[in-house]
Amino acid sequence: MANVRMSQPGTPATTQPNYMKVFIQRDYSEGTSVKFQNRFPPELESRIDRHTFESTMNKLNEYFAEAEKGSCSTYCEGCLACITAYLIYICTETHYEKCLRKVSKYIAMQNERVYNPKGLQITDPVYRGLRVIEISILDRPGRT
Amino acid sequence: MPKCDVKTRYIPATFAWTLLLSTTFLFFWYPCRQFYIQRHPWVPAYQAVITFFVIANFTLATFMDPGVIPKAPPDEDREDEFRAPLYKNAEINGITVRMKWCVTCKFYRPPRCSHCSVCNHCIETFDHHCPWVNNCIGRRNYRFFFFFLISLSVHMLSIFSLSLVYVLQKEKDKLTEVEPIVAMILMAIVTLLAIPIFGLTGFHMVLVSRGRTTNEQVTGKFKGGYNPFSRGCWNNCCYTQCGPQYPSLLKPQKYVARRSNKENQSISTITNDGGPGGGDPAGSGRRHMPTGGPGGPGTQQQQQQQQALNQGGGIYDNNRHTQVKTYMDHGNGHGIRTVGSSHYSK
Repeated sequence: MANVRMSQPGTPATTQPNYMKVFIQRDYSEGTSVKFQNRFPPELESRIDRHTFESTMNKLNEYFAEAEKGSCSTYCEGCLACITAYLIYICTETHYEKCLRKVSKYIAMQNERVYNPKGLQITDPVYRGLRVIEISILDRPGRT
Repeated sequence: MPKCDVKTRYIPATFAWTLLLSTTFLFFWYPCRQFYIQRHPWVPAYQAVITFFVIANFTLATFMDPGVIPKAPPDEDREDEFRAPLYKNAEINGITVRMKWCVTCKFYRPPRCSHCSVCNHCIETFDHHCPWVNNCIGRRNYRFFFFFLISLSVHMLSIFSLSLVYVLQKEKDKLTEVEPIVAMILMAIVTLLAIPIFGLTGFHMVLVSRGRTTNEQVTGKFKGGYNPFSRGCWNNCCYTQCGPQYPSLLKPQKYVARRSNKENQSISTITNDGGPGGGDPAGSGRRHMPTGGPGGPGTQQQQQQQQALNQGGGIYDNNRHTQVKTYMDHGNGHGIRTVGSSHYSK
């Protein structure tokens, strides 16, 4: 369920006070794996079309699914880490961290190309502890 | 009062570290040095490997972020804090699970998350707060805690049996010497700790195979029922031990993508050309435009950057003839690069 809230200054996505925000919550239907709901919030009805929004959410969910998947490479990463007394964690990024970078890059690109021109800004969920995706409506100040 | 709490928090962990390091040291210094190193050198080597794993896993279980979920910022969705229901339901694999509102952290706790009053944080997939490592055990460090228990059990069995062998092979009249006495003390310590440690190890082996946390087991959450988080015994074991390492969320700036103007456009290595009339077609190399590559914005930024460089940004001497070499990254991070014109001048 998406919720709307007035913002306060000091968030990573905004430099001006009182943007209206829409929150996309996590979808826990498949367990604790990171996945976000792709239901279209009514507040964005006039700003962006449903298909664009859903494709963004689906792409993000794909990235997170890839991050959460256990595979041969994560097993090897774990073994190598164990053998090197986990010092390898200082030198390289884990599989999940690489996926988070991909997510960050994708969100930055989507913001630049699709959402900012429509007066919206997506905040990377990593800034919210991977609990919500925050979409700020930039040309719609909230009430003080 | 707070001072008192801080001190008492560290006592069990200090005790655990001291006990582990001192017994290991005593084992290496007395039975190993006296007996094994001459006759069976593989024993100290093998014991050193086990000690290495015990200490590495203990260190990570102690110092690693267990999966702290940062507190919600003030502007997040919590206006209804006073009127919102205490619990919110979520359906997971057909089972309804309750998510409780955390008053301290200001969000509905995700499933399997619990708030630790000692650490004062919500922890992802909270297992328990372990006083012996002075840290919570959660999603990120559970595997290290589990491997620590297993390696410690092996370490204890190994020390016990090697000390026993050492004592048994000693002549009866030499049993009052320092080395055999130390070996017997080590055996006594291991015997005392065997039941709690082996018991805890066995308990966690069962938990891992069932896909449960200590918190869920102790509070009887799935008693007699179906655990929606279980993926089957084999997959539970695999995922706990071999699954992806969940990232720390305390410093999200670490995961921000590198700035797009570096990845979607050319990156000039040296900025300047020579004076007027440069004397060199290399001058034009500096204005080389990328061939292909993504997007309008990237190209525009690249042109702006080129112009800024043309104007002689700060640190380079305008009078020097310098090399110009232009690289372009196609922005997908896979390092496909094409070299622009690369003329050199003095």
